Amino acid sequence: MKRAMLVLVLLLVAALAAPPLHAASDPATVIRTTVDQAFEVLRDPALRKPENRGQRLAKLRAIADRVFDWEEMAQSSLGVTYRKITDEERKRFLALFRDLIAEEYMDDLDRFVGDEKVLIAGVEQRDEQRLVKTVLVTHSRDRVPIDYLMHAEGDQWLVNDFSVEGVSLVNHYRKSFSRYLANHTFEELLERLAARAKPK
Amino acid sequence: MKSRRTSLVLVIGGLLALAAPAQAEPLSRRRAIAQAVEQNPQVAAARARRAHAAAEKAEADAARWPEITLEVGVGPSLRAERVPGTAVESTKSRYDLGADDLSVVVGGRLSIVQPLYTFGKIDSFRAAAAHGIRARDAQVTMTQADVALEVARLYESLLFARDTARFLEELESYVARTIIATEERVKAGAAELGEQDVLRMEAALAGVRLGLQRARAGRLQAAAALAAYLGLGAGATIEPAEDELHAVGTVEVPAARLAKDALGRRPELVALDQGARAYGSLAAAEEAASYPDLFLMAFASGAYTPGRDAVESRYVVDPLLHFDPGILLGLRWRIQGPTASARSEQREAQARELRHLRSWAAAGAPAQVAAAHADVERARRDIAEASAAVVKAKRWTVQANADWVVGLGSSLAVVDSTRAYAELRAAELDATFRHNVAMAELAHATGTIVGDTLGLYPGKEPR
Repeated sequence: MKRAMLVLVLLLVAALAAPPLHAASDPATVIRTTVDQAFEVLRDPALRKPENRGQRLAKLRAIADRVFDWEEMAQSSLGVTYRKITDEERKRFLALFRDLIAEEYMDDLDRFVGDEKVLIAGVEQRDEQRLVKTVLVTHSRDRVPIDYLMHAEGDQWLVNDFSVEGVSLVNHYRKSFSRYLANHTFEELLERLAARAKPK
Repeated sequence: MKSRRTSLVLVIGGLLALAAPAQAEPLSRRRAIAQAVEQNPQVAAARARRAHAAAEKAEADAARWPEITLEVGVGPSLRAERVPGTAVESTKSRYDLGADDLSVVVGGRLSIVQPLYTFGKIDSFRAAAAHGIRARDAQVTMTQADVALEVARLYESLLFARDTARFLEELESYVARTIIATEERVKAGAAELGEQDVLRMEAALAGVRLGLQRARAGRLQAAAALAAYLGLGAGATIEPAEDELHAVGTVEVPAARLAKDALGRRPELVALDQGARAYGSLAAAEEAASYPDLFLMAFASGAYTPGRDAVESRYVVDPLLHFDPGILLGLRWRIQGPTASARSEQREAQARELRHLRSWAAAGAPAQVAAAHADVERARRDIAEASAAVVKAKRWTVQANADWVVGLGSSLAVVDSTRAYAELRAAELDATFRHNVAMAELAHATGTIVGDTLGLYPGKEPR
């Protein structure tokens, strides 16, 4: 009896100590797969035609939306301000932030020439999160470090921040928004973002 | 009908494939230099001069051996009957000719002259020719080194132009798209944007395009010049094996040691030294012209005419029937007064000239090594500085662009940061190009560029 109890306790401790099980791939694989899917779209001869640009960007957006946790990124970018605003304001901010950042990211991808490469440089554990380090080798052989900070959401790994050249998107915007909000209202910030959004 | 058209398309396709130039094999630095020094016409001309010197040596060597002169001939002759009991009297007079008096003579002369002692003339000429060959060998190496240096400069220019063009193409695309997005927003009535923002970016784009055109032209020029050095036809495609420009070669020996070792390796110094020795030997040969040549000569003269009696006198030689061999120990002496000394002094003066030039080259070689070494060190520091600055400029660009995207930044920040990044990246490429050219110049200054014996240029092949 004592021995059975001991085995049970040990199993329980092991289960508690072990990292959460994720049925899906590990973070590096998620990034690799996402990048490969994006490259597949960018290399598709039919989608490369200028008249199909809208379709191309839509496919890229769909790929990005599966992996990026826009809500988490938007919330983190606002910092303490997020707690002070209304639900309606949060909704409007999230929509604008997501569209602006996603559009810019898609636009960067759309400049793809055909010989770019993405190398996975490693994965770092940061408490419950994982930092996937990649290097984008551009057409001009420039090496751009892009790191993806990911968290587990159920059995999925999602990106809640990414850094380009060591500049964390979330940290940067937190400072920029904070600086702006020191002398402006949140409504003014929303108007600013709306003015930047793609004309419909 | 359909199958005939398909066949026609296939035939035309096949012919076009045959006519198109073959895909160029990627060309590495090492192969470019090897190919150029092997077949470049300047090197071929230097080799021809070397062959000429070898032939002069063969000629000087041949002076040791006997000189053989042989003359033979055939012609009309006269029969003659000697009066019995006499030595030279003939039964008929010289002018009493009849048709049955005609005969034919076969005759000739042979002389063999073997020089015995020439007071050093032959040895001096041989020594001069031997020095001449060594001087020409060194000149072949010099020409190869000069060709290798020029090929290195062109190869690095090609890489520099290619990478600069690639970078500016990327930048052009980025700025052009930013302009389009800005124009759309201005048109949509964005309050914080105006015409000035668009103009600012268009000015930046124009700068990028000017640089891009310069880079593309530079690439074509470098490729064309390199093709000429490699003996490829006009319009030949050159594809560098290196995927990107990076710093090559390592300096593992201190500069002072490189400079000292250069004195033993530089082919110019060898050429001048051997050239001076050659003139010195010629001076000795000219001086020896004041003295006679001792020789041994064997000779023979003979003629035969059928139907002609031989003369029996020791005093009279019948040119149409005789045989006279002989041997003598001879002396040939051309007394030229001060001419020989004057010629010797001319050669000596030429030797002195080359010795002075050698001294000058020996003083200049270490200075060249020092200058090239300093250029390498400066370029290395520039690469480190520019690379670190490029990282900072990229971070600035990312931040400026991030603010611009959400409407919190200005076009001025975007343009300024992009311009800083472009200038620093161009400076990084320029520093890398200068580094590699300086390494090639250092290899040339140390006499190691052909064969890369010190690993200076092109250094280890990139993986």
